[in-house]
Amino acid sequence: MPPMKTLRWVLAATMLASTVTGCAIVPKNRREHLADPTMKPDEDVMRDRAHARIHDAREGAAGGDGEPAGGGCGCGN
Amino acid sequence: MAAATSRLALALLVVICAARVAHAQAPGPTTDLDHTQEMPLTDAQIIGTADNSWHFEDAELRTAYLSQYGHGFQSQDGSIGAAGSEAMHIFEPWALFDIRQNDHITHQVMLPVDIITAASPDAVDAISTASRQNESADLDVRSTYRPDDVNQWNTRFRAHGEEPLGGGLAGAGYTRHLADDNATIGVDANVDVDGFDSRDVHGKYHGKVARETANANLTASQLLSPTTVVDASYGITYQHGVLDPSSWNAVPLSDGSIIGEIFPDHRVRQAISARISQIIPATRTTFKAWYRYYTDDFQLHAHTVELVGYQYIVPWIYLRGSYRYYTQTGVDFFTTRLEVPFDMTAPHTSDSDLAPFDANEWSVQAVMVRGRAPKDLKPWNLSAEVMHYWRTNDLRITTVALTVGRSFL
Repeated sequence: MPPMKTLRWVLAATMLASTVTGCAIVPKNRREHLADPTMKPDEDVMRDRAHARIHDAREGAAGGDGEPAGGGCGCGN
Repeated sequence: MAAATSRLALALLVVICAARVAHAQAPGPTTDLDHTQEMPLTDAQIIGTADNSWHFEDAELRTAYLSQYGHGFQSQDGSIGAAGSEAMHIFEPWALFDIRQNDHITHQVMLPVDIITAASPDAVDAISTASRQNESADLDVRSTYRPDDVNQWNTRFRAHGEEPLGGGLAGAGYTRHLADDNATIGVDANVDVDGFDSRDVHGKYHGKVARETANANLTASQLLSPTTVVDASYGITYQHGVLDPSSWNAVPLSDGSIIGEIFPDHRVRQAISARISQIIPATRTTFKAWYRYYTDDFQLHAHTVELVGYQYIVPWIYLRGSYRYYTQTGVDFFTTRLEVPFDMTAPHTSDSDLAPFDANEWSVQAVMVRGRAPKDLKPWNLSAEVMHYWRTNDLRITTVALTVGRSFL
């Protein structure tokens, strides 16, 4: 599948998923499980950045996840 | 007699009432919990006031050792025309500090240091030691200003230094918390400028060169249930300038010699990713699944899938295991042997990081959760991790890491 077509398909699927699920409301007094450390998106900041540095230096597809690609390091691709 | 009794009872009642009123109006000891105040109590009066001045909330130290083995055609550590060694060893002492400035502003300061040995030895070490032994360090400061429950502003500044390269990044972002924090949407942008030495494949110095990177990201998250969260992001990056900081990388020629690599002077990169996180309270288990698609105008396309599982073994210790699969097509100007004659201006590289390959990775980590451990261990968090990464084009990495942290709250 051509890359731009794949990108459009993924974007459309993401928008559809957002529309379908956007109405869910979870009151604050029912979020005790969501507050568990394992549910945090960044439960170990240094581990995640260390892994990202390994990937950014050894794979051609760095960046795009809130991080600028390829910059800031002599080893970046 | 009855009348006298009634008067006595009435008098006693008046005295009792007067005493109660007098007690209620008398100035007593002043406490935040004085229930006779007519104004409603504030949160601070109920739970006390926190220290609002500058203070450390958390500090963490992470020490990791990484060993890498493998071969790539860009490396000159081997015979000409054959893949050279990519062996190297890295020691990483990193530090992270969470600092609160006041009720609304927090700062996260990270100091990653990499001490690298034997990175492509015997390449250009006659002139530069950058490929034999190198040290790199960052100062990365992320600040968050949250004036209310809805709006959040972020800034980021990073400085980076290593022997052939110095650079800086500045960024800013905004996140809006919607529907009582059931959803968030965010946007941020970053600008990164790097300056570095240009050396050719024989180590000759060609002066300072630079590359500029501009990046914008969109993020969103949504609670789906009391145990489920999804989040997604899209990012686009534009780079301009000299895009190969390892300018001494070699490209083997068909006549048995080597030449330096040539990159286009700009690159547009895009990535989209989504993750779902699910906790199962009955078994104290959490699962996360993540997918990412990447594409750029070097015709490199990549897919990444990562699956992560967490399992509590006691209420304050959990085990984390992950598996990651990555595949990329490689850039359209990758070659392991350039035919002579060739176009001197056309892009070409033999960098194995830009070749077509698949990569696998697994990791196992044990974590002691801060705030849940018994007594004296309560403010501490500890973790130990082993990670192994391997590519189908001859590269293997093993990492061992230990982290110690302490909360000062």
